[in-house]
Amino acid sequence: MQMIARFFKTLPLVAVLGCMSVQADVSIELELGPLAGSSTALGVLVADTDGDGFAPFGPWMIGTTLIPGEGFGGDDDVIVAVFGTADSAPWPSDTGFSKLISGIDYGELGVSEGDDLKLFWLPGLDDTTTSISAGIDISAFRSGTPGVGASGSFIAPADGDSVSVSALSSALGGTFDSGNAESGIAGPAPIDFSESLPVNGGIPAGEVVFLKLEISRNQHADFEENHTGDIGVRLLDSKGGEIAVDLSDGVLQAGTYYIELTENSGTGPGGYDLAVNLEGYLPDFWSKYGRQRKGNNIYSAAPRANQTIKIFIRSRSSLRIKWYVENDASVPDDIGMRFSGRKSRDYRLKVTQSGRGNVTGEIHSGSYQTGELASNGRSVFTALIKPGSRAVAKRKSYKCRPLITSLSDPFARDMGQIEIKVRR
Amino acid sequence: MKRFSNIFSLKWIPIGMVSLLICQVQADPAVSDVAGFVEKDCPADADTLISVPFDREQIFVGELSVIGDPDEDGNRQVSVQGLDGLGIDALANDGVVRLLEGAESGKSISVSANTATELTVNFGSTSPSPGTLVSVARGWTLDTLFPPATQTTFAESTGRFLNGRSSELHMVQGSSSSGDVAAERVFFVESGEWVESTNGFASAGDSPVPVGSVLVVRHRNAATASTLELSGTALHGSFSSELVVPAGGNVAHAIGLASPGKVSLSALAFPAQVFAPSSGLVESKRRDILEIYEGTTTLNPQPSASYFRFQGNWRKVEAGNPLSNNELIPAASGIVIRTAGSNQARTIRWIQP
Repeated sequence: MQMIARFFKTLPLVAVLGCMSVQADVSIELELGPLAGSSTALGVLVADTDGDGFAPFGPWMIGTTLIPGEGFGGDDDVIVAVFGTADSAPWPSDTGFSKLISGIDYGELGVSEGDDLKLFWLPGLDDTTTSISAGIDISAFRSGTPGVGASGSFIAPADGDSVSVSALSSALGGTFDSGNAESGIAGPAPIDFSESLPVNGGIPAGEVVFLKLEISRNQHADFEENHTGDIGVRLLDSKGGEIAVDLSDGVLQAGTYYIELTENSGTGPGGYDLAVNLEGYLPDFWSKYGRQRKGNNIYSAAPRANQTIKIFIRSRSSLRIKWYVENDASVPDDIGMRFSGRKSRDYRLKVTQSGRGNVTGEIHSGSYQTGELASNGRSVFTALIKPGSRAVAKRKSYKCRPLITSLSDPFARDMGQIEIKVRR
Repeated sequence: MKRFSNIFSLKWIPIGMVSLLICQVQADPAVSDVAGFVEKDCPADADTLISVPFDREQIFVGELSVIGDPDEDGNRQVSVQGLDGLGIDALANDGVVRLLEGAESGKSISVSANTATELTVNFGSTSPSPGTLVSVARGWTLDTLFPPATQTTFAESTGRFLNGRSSELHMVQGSSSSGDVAAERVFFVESGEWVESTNGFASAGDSPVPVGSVLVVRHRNAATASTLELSGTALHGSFSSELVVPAGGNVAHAIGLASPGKVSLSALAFPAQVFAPSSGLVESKRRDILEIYEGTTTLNPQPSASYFRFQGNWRKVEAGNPLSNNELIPAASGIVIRTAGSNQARTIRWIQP
């Protein structure tokens, strides 16, 4: 038995940089065929709206609702049209698609001119099919060049355009061969997997098992995998894209993941045993002034009384307050700090950090980061607050609210509060 | 048809001459025909926007009677005083009733069935009064407008798939609130018949071609330039186009001009509620825009010219925004009106000149 601890390196946030869809209405005449061995098929024209490619075949396609505007294997791959093959009359053998898709409304679909298009089809199904079930066969085709006689290609045309897209077999004067089209299945159905639900089982020779892991918040993940035989392991995102795997610990962003386990030898079987430890992030801010110590091990981004230092002043004497930013999680973290609320015109504030000097500007601008803090590590600050003459004369009070955020999990936050009131 | 054009340089023929030239059965002697003929160049490898400015055949003119109440789908029986002897469902495919007076004068309604004396129509939101003068006409179909055996506008395709396609006729959607207007049906001639480009490539010779719609002659692949030739009876009475504008959205309306001759912009006579005037010359101040597509030489062409109305005049969208009241739009043209968004939904009827 082999034991491998798999760690996942920090995953970059998926930046959705796709173009914003615009108002547009187009028509596409699409013909593709014949589909060898099929007497009927359901076609699904899909647009890749963020330019990151189309989802491969897999369990992420299961449950897809087959209506225009829905995601197809991923939210960014949008269904443009769904249509069946009507009959085989025009085709020399089997069947194919010949369809004028009119009234394609980019704004409604979230599609933009220039988006890549791809035709998926479900052999043997017809337009009574409303969603994708586990295990059904799927094929797909797209080409970057126009087919013979076509006025367009598999690219979303400009507003108002009526284009034709063609992929015909050599018998019909084209180069399309349905035997060489991409093909696969929607599935198999994934096995639910979580920190509290470790899984194990066998994998027949050459087959694939998918585990589905849902993470509601960004968390540090530590996978423990034991397997017998020749088992390949891949971590995939919610639409089947492979995520870089490293033998170091890291963060999984909130979302849906699939773990693909493949019996590679082809002679199998193999076995697997998988568990995951997920650790959340826990930044802690607390303050000390005289005998007051507030906020230690209290985690709230809405300041409470037990996070608030209250100071009453009568003169313009400077106040020296200690701030502590601590990483209370069991995994390393980088913590950012900024002020919540507006800068006061009546009080001067200067924050220095041991070893870094004046960091007031960085905190005001929101650019301050502690750098990696080990588990239970801390950064210590000195806040020097000096009331202005107007503050004393006009009894202006002041609330200073430092807000800290885990850079690994933006939902993991904490806040402190310094409240100053003037007394005569 | 060609004979007329050889005889007359004018492309449409005034009423006085028609009686000498055309023998046409006319049920109501009070109505006279005005025949017309138009030509339009259709370049190769290009889209040409056209309209059909002629009725095919007017059968009768008389006063409308409404019989009973509409069914749940809005279909109802009507009769026209004096109309009799129709073959059962003879007008079911291409019959049209046009209102010749009243608030919605010019509106055309398709006939879905008929007996010898009664027609089944669906007025929709229209409520014509009994006694309204209407015409009953036989509308165009692909076979009657462009008979495959004799028409010369469309090159015959050698196959039904795109690689055998020569010329196509596109029926353009009437309006779009989501962008520009595009084709909603595509037809072509193959093996001596009209075929629709859709699953199964159905025979389509009896597909109605509504007057007032915009069609596109698309020459592709090996199709060479041709000349569109249309002739028929000039539309009787007023002919209207309906512009439906939802609240908040810009809408592109494709409208086939019904005039059998050239028409100037000023003669279009848009009321302000049909074509919103602009408050200034600069682009940000422009409201509704009229686009024409004449002499275009590409597939999916851009408009050849665009116009807007400012202080009672037509202005062209180009440097200096020249006055354009006398700009002429050729006969049988398809235009696009882009109505700017408004706060209120509106349905506007434009009586064409």
